[in-house]
Amino acid sequence: MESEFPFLMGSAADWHKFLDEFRSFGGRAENVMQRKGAFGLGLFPIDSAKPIELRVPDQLLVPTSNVELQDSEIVIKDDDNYPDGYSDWFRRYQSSYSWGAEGRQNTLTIEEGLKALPEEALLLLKRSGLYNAEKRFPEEDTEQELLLRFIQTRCINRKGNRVIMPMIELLNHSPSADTYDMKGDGISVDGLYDGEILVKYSNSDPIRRFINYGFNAPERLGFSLPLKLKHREQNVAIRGGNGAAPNKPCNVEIKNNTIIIEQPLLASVQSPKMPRTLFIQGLQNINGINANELFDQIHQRNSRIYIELIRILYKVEGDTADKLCCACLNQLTALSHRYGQRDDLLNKAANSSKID
Amino acid sequence: MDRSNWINFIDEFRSFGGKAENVIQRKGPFGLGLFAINPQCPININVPNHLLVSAENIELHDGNAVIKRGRDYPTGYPDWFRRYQASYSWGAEGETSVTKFEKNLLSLPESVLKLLKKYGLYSHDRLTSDSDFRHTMLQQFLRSRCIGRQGRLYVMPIAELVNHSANVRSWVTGSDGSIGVLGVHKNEILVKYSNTDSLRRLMTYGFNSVEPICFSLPVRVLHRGQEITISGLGKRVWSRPPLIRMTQHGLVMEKPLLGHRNIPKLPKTLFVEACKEHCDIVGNELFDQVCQSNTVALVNILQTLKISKAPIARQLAQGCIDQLDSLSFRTGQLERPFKMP
Repeated sequence: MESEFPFLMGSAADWHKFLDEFRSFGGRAENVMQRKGAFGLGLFPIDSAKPIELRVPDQLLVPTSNVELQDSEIVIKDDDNYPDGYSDWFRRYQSSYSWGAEGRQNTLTIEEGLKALPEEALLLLKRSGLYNAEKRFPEEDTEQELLLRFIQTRCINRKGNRVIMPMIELLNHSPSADTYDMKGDGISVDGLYDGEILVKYSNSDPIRRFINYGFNAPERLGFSLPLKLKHREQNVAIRGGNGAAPNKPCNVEIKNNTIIIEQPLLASVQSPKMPRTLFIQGLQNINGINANELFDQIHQRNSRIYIELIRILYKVEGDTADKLCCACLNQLTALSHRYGQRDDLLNKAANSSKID
Repeated sequence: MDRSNWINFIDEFRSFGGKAENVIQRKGPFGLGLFAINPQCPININVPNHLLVSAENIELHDGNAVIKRGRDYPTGYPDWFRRYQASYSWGAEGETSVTKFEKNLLSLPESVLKLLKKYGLYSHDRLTSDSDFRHTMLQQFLRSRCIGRQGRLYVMPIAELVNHSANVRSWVTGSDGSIGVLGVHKNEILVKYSNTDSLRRLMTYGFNSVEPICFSLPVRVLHRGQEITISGLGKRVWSRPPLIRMTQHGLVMEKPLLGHRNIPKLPKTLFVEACKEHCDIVGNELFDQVCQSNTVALVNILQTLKISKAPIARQLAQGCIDQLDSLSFRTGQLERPFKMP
């Protein structure tokens, strides 16, 4: 039978049958189809004039600790708490539309590409805490390592658990899209979509999106790398990474004569005045610090690492080197979105600190 | 290079009042350059004011760079200058290297050329016809060999054969208007030609150099509802606050310093100082905005250059990367007004 949707993976009938089964377990997948798009396989509306609806109720979410590989297929280890037939559906789903469709192969391509980068690039990535080939892909148990990497890119935190969300995990990412709706029972995405249905996976910056997910996206935030630096004779340590609450002042503590700053937000495309404001707020009770200057110092150290990486990667031919170079350039662009500060917020914070 | 010819040439140069002691021209890591004959002894190159030749007073004659009007120079000097240019400068490798660089630039993809034009780095519009090409190349060559004085460019024979390094002293200028280089040079004799940044060094001189300073590219910034033009053209003293002037198109700031490897607190200090008299400008914020626009411009050029594998694309990419690096040296502000060391 000819496919109703020319780009659909497998036949339209197979897809619809799959969705019917999913619905029978309590899930929703209305007006959606899977096909190849600009970001590889993704979900699209069947009729873009009508809203789409995707929902995975909590009872169908699968903790990452409850999946394993059996005969190269991802299966649920313990299916006691799932509806009858769900674990079989999940195995076929993974095999046909997720891990088996292009998930495993994409993960392998990314890991092999990163590992094959020039030695000096790998060393710099390791020193800057972005990527460590020996830890991430030692190739001692290749299939298991690939599974772990794949799951990392497909799961979400839900009520303290890392869970896989079938169907919804087929959606691709866009930094400018809305994120998942997690307010009610389960996780859902709905609305009208002209083209591919995209969601924002999480708050991240371009370099971490690439290292963690293997694709480039013009992320709208910039976070710091882990750093140690001297600021006006004081030792400062920056814990790098995506802050869980990027719109709040960063946490700061002093340990062993070192000022430790937790995951400061360094840049924001949408609110370029906020990063410096939040940084100054976070450091307002720390003596001997010029927060403005320290903020600039952290930026400089970050920028120079990316510039060094670009310098190395520009000389190298290869798909992963090109993509990583692009991620570093995107990161520099993202990091540049920090100008001025919100004096109104800083004055308010200073006044309330006086009152306290 | 024939050593006896060189010695005869230098003798002639001395007869006009110039000095070129303990120096010889030969190939080095930067192409042809000057070296000490005896590296243990000091060298002395000095071009007196009366032997400097205004770039406007040089023209092409049968392919040679010659002095147009020679009456103000010592007898025999214009002829010496023609032979000097033919054997050691324009004719040695000057024309070849400047032409090669220009032709390589022209071979870049149109998208790259457009960006270079947008950011005031290069415009091939100046090459209007083939007959103009050689003349344009001479002008470009002279720009890379001249020193600026009171708004005019002057060629400094013999001294202009010295190559550039960003980390050494600049020319020694005498109170009599002479120019030269002194001191012991164990390796190649090098001077700092001028204070410019990596990208402009590349585009004007044709070679890459990690320069300690970074000036802004021409960009426009929307600052608190007001469009401000940042001019990236012309020469300016890096250690002074950039000028801001009101034009019919709005505020224009002249080529602000944005990064300085040795004094990273200086760029913002000078910038904020310049903005003090403009109550509608928040200096700190505008500085960050200008830096942002520059970063985006440089990243844009680098991304566009990726489509070309030509050596010139790599060279230009290196210039952009060096520029980004120098631009990153901008941390905090000085607590006291800056005084030149």
